Amino acid sequence: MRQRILLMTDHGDHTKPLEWALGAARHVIVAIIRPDDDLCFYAWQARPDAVVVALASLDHGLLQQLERLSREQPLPVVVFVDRTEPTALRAAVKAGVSSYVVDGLEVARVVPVFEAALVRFREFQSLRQERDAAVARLSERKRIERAKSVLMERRGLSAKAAHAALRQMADAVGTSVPEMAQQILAVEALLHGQAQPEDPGARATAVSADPVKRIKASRAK
Amino acid sequence: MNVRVMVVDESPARAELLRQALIEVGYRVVACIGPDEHIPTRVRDTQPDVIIIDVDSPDRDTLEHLCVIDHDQPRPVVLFTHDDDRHKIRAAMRAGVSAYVVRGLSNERVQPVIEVAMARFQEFQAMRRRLDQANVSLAERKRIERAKGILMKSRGCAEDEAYRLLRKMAMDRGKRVADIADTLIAAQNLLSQG
Repeated sequence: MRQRILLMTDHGDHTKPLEWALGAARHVIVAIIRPDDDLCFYAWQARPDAVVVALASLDHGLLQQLERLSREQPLPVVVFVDRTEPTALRAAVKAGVSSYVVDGLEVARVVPVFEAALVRFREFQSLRQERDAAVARLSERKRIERAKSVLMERRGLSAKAAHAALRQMADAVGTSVPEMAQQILAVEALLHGQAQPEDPGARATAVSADPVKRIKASRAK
Repeated sequence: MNVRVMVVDESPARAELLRQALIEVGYRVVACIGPDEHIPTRVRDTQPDVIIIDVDSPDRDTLEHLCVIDHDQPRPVVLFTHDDDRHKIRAAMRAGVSAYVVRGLSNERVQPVIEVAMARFQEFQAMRRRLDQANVSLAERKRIERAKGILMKSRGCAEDEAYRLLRKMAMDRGKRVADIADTLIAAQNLLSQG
């Protein structure tokens, strides 16, 4: 399938075999940018299907850009470098680079490397999504359990009654049970200043949550 | 700390060259085998940290072996090949290959390829572990809830009392709360069947 590619490079002799090989495989280079350009901005603007980086080596700033890209708008990224430090290599893989090729920029190898990167990216993304979903389910459940025990304690309810109350409150404001649980925990933290238990992710969102705004927002949907 | 490498090669001559190149850059080659051998068995016997496969084109048997390894004793796998067929690449990736390298086997290049494959493998495994952990704790929480329900009903106690009971049982027996919950649920199933 034809892919739209954003190419980052700093010198001409690098781009020629790349452009030739990718073009021969009917891929399209939608933009060529330099290493000091803002990668995330151009990725957002040009909406490529993949990013190819061809440079002498990767520096710290670019690794940070790649890391940000993988967080904000994950794309398959192929990196060709002439030389590498072992730390840069590991950092690149950690930053979500799908293929990291040292001294391997030859016409015959570009397209297979690119194909492998696309496949690997998809595999990695689906595992990542699966992981995120599982972690979210788990923290949702923790939140609901904690909100229930808040209700049990503050209102002297049984577990069953607390669950029913939670559901009722959610229905009343037109939101979901996990969302309602979140709001109860936020209020509880405000009123009683309790450090929220174990889950640091849940705490961060609970503190920043404005219950009134959230309820309005969920009603507006 | 020398990385232990297993080499799988069609050609004994190429295998020997590769072996020497690997030793030169500091790897320890623990086995050199042909692709017709049963790779999972040899992996179990020699416990390599990374597997390098050099074949013209990975055949069905080899990919199947790799699937078995990925399932039972996952390790980074580097595959050097001449086959740039898109379906082959996809099949190899699914079989757990960390690096699929077409026409790229040269002595200077082999080290970064192995390093990238190992780094990527670790990333992938870490993500997999986190996924498994989340799924396990979710399942455990559900079972603990069920066990609490059983206790609340049979003893007529409140939820926190039920949880205290579970915790106490776990502490007395030196087990985890989730394990005690399993025992309780199993006992309940037995009793309600009878």
